[in-house]
Amino acid sequence: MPMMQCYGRPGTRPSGSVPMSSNRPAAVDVGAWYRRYGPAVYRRILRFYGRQEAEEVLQEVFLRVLRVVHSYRGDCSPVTWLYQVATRHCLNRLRDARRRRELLLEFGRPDWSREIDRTDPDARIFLSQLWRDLDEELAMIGVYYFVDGMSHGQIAEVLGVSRRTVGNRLARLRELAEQAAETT
Amino acid sequence: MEGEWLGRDGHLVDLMIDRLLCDDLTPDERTGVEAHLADCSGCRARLASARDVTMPWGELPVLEPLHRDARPPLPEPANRPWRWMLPLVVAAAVLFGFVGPWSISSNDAPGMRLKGTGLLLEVWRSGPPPSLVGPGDEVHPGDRVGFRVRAGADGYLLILGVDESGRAYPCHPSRPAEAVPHQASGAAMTVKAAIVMDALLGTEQIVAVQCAAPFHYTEVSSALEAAVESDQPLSSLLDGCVQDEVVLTKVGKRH
Repeated sequence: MPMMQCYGRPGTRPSGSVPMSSNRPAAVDVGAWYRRYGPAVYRRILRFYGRQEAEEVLQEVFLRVLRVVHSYRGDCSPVTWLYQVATRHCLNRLRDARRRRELLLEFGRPDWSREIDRTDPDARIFLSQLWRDLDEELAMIGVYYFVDGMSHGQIAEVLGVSRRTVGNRLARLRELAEQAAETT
Repeated sequence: MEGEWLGRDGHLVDLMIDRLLCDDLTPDERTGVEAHLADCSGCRARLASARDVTMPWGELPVLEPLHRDARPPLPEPANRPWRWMLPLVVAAAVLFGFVGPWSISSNDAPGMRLKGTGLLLEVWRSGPPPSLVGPGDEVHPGDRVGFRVRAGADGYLLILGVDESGRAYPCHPSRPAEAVPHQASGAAMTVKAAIVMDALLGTEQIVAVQCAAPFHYTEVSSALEAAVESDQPLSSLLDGCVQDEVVLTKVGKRH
C-alpha cells in the first residue's frame, strides 16, 4: 500500500508530470490547513527547534505555504506536503543562521520522535557537519533517512522520485560522509 | 508495498504518527498503522506524547494572523541583482506621478484620509505597483496589504482588523499582545507588518488605535467585536485614545 506521492519540491512541478490544471485540487484554504494540520507542522518544527523559536518558525512555514500552495496538486496528503515544506524551511533556516552546531542535537529529541541511530558513523558525520554543505535535495534525503528513519521506499514516495534515485543519493551521501571522516 | 508506513527500525515514522493524528491516512494506511500500534507499546507512547503537544497559543484564534509577514511588504533585499536600477525606477515613478507607499516622499496620495486630528491609517496593497486601498475599495483573497500610520503624538499603537464574520484579528503587532510604542511623525510611516487576505469574502475593517498609555489587544478587540456585533459605529473604541479605520470589501478572485 503506497503512501501518496509528493512530487518534487513544493513550489515546483516535476518535468513530465501532469499539468497542474488537470488534477489540481480545489483552492486550498490555508487557514483551515493551519487549524487542522498546524499541530503536525509544529511538531515537525520541534524536531529542529526549541519551543520558543518554533512558534516563530511555525509562522514562517505557513507564510511559505501561502506562497507555494498553488503548487500543491493533491498528489500527496496535505500533511506529507506540509512536512516537506517545514523540513525544507527548517534546514535552510538552520543553515542560514550559520550555526556551527550539530543538526537537531541542541534541543534534544522530542518524546514522540524516533531515536536517531548514532551507532551509524555516516549518520554522525551527516548530523555533525555534512548537512550544512549539501545541496537541498541531498540534505532532505539525509534528514529523512538518518533522522526520520524512513525507508528507501518512503523517501522515494514522499519526494516523488524512484527508489533507485534515493539509493543513488544515499550512496553519494555515504561516500561524502566517508570523505569527510577521512579529512577530519 | 506492505508495511511501508514503518521506518527502517520497524516502528512508525514520525510522519505517519502526525498523519494519524490529523486524520490524514487512507483507510488502508490507517488499518496498517493501527495494527502496528496494537502490538507496539513504544509507538503507542509516542502517539500519546505527540497528541499532548498543543499549538503554542492553543487553537488558532483567527485566520489572518497566519497570513502575516513580519517583514515590510515591499522593500527588496539589498542583494537583488537589479538593485542598481532602483534610482531609475524611483525617477520614473516620480515622473509619471506615482508615489508609492515605500518611497521617501510622504505626499498625500489620492484617497488618503485623516479622521480626527490624531491618527491616520493608510492601507496599501502590495504591487507591482503598490496601491493605496481607499474606503470601500475592493481587495481579493491572497492580496497582501501593508500599513502606514501618521500619528500626531507619541503613544502606543495597535492595528487590528475584523472580518465579515465579526471576528477580530491582530495586524500589528502580529499576535494578540501589548500595543507597541509609536512616535509622532509629520509623515506617514510604514508599519513593519503585513497581512494576506484570507478567503472569507465580505467587509473587512482595519482599525488603528493609539493611546497615550500601554494597552493590550484584548481590550480593543473585544470592543471592536462588540461594536460590529451591535452594528454600532467604531468610533472611540477606547476612551481617551485616537483611532482611524479603513473599510474594505473583499470579493472573489481578480479577473
